[in-house]
Amino acid sequence: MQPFIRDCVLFAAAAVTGASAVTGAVYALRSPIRGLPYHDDFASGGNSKWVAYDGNWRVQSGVMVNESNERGAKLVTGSPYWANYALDADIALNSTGEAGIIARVSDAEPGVDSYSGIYGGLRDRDETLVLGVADHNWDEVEAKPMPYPILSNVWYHIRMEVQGCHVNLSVRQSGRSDSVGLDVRLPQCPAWGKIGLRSYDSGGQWKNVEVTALPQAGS
Amino acid sequence: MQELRRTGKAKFELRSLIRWAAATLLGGIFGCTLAYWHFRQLPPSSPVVAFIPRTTGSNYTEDMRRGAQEVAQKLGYRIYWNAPTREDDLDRQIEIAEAAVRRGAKALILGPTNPGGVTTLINELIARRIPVVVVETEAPVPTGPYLTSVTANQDEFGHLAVKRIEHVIGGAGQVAIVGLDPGAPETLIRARSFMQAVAADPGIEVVAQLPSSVQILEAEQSTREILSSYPRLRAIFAVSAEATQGAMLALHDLDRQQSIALVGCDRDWFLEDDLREGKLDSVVTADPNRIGELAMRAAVEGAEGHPLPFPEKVDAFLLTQDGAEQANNR
Repeated sequence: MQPFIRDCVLFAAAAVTGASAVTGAVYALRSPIRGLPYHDDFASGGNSKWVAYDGNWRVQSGVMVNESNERGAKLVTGSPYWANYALDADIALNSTGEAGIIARVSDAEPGVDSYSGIYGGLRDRDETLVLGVADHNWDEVEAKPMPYPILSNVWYHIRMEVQGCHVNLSVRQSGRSDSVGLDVRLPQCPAWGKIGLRSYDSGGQWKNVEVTALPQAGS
Repeated sequence: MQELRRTGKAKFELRSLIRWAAATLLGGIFGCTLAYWHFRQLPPSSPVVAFIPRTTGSNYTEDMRRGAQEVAQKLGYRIYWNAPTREDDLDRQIEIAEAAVRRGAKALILGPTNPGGVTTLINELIARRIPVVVVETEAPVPTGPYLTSVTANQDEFGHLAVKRIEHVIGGAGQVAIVGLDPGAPETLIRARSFMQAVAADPGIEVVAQLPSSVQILEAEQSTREILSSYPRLRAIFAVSAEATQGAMLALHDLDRQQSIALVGCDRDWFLEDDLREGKLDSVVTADPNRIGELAMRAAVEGAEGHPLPFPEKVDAFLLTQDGAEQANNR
């Protein structure tokens, strides 16, 4: 083989190998199931894996507490590439307002609705389970009345399943068997993102945060 | 001779090795860079207008955003929408506005948390020829080619409230004004226009004008004080959405809402629901959607290098229980 041709073949082979290696690494890093299942029971007392956008967050006896009644304080963690998953948490409101969880969070920054993602939570003002989409604005999808009052400092188990644009949100007061749910297919939705905790007006408390992968929508 | 041949061969092998290594290395770098560049590519984006209201997530501001968004989309612009989580957080508002401009926003629509506190920011932006459109309150410095305002016609608020109160209380009685906040000049204009309208009506006596801030609890406390000081009070004019909420809480706790008419301002928070439920008599408001539209039109004009249009005022109107039932546009 001519030296020049041989060099070109080598160059091309190395280029393909390099590109494949980078592509493989990027896909591995961006895998929608990387780091799943995820669980945080806040047992260690640390919250270094979480990023706060407003609010006054601290861990106390296995509970993440936001003591601030700012509107729209958020605490975010996880992989920006998580796509289809179920997010579970126990939540409690500190006072009058709202507290809940957010899924598929991206582009988060300090501010009321300053993120892209799906919010599900409890609002005591009209005693409802609320589902909405934020994209640096707020689009309330549905608010379902609760059959019992939403009380401050009482634990509720909340679960949000996101599969494609299909969202299933359910909540149950601790110690009760009857749950309230919302099952919605959104016309458009954020495709992937981190998870988070969010409160509005009320501060809030969260524990036993868990994320589990769900199969892709339609599969 | 053999020695020479051996040296030449060794040199040739070394040269070949270097060439292979160089080809492999360069090929690898080229491939990695190509793949990296492919993943790093960002989609082209439209120019941005930053819209920083006092706060976001309330009915009033969301309506403003919808109006602005519609216009921005039509004109090929994007909105950067953000505000502090507290309506009185001036420092954060300035920080957000400055960051937006630093990131390349072509114009700024600003609902000043405290107009007096943003004059430096506005003057700096004007000096840099970045157009600023003030909403929610009057512009704190004289308007010009780089500064304008789009606001509700605040002078109409007081007149409409007096008319309604006259009708509800039958023409005569004691009235109080709550929610005057020097940090929100529109509340002072509304109270002033109320007093002007009352001056033409000797039947109505304004017994108190109480200040409060954006804190609802403060407005609630002010209202409680008025209620205990003036037992013959017939109506309250609350000059902001927060003051209306506070007054409503005080009236609810005293269980006297049937005898005291509450006329509020700004269709914000849950006031429309409260109106529907009869917790207050009426709300004087302006169309926030229209304010958003006009503000965005002005901002885009400025962003495209034209002088900003003159300040505009959007008409106020009275929303009663019947109107709230029809509106249903939350």
